[in-house]
Amino acid sequence: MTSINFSYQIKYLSFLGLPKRPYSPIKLIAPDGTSITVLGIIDSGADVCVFKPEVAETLGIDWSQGTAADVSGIEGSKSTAYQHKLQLQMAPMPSPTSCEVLFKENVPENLIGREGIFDSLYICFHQKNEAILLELV
Amino acid sequence: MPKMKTILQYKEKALGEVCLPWLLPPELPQSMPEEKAQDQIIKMIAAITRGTEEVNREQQIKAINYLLSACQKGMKDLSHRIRSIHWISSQEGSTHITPKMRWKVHLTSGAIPKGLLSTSVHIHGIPEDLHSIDWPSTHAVYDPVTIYAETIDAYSRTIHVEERPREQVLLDDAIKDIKMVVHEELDWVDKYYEEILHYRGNWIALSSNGIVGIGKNMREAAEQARLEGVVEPFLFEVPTTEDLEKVLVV
Repeated sequence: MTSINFSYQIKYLSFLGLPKRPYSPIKLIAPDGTSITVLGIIDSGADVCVFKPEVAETLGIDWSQGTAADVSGIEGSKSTAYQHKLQLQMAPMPSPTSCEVLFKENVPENLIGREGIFDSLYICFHQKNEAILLELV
Repeated sequence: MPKMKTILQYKEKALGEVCLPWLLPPELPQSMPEEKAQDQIIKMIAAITRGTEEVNREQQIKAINYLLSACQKGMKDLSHRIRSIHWISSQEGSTHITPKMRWKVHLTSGAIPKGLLSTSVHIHGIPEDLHSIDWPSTHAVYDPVTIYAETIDAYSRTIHVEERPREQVLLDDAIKDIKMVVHEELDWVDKYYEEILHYRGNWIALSSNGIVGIGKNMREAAEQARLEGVVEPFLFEVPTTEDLEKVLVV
């Protein structure tokens, strides 16, 4: 039988009074090495990580020069986002992973999607305990 | 009469995990009209997964035959309910069920996502290795709380199923022992909480030394942080009172 023993957990966070959600800090490293850490919501429904344009600007990236990609959200409407390759790291990943991320206007939160992150971590939402359980893949 | 026992309840839904002590007759009809059989088997599956009805021997026989038939023909109309049928037989290709035939069926209920297994029906004659990986892995999909002991009485040709605590530690119990990820950034937010709240609507750059940048936007805060020699600041916007009343994120 295959089983996973989760070694880490992150409690859902009521960040500065916002509703309690599965937030996590995530580090982004631009190709030139500029690095910042921002807060994102872990979103298993998001194919990729999606960040606000200001994140790109802070990293010194001209976000609109990325590869244009059509994206659709839960409401179904399509819009354009711009794809860039960055390095991401979320605890407890021991090192950053390189993956494509999207920058998109009007996203209410940074979304920590599956590509890159979910490839590196087993992630389980334990709603009852308001915790995210994590294990390295 | 066959004895059915529900050995798994999946939350409040009427899903059950039932093992039927199938009593195999020496001979079975080879086939039955498919349209009738389909109705029959769907009722059977419903009964099995709910665990609320007893099915009689005749129904079992028809159901077995239909499942075999569906298995062999790869019938599409039941594919949403029959996840997989493992046919292990020394008489492969035959639709006759014999005491030596070994097979098992994994069924899905329509109430759960396709691809997950809800019910395993083991037929008398399955291999003696009753603790093969199939059982626990099937159950593990649904509920880490329960595991099953299963024995076959070869003489009475019955299968006994019993419920018992799962041997491994339960997730609900274990969660308190799972260590917290240390997020220095969030510890800083806790540490400087009162101070941070003065900057509602602004962006903050934090380092382990506290606030190292404040700006109207993220970049401003980051630039201040870098001027302070912090190359990797934690950046966030302090929510306004309006932000706190925002609708739920979906």
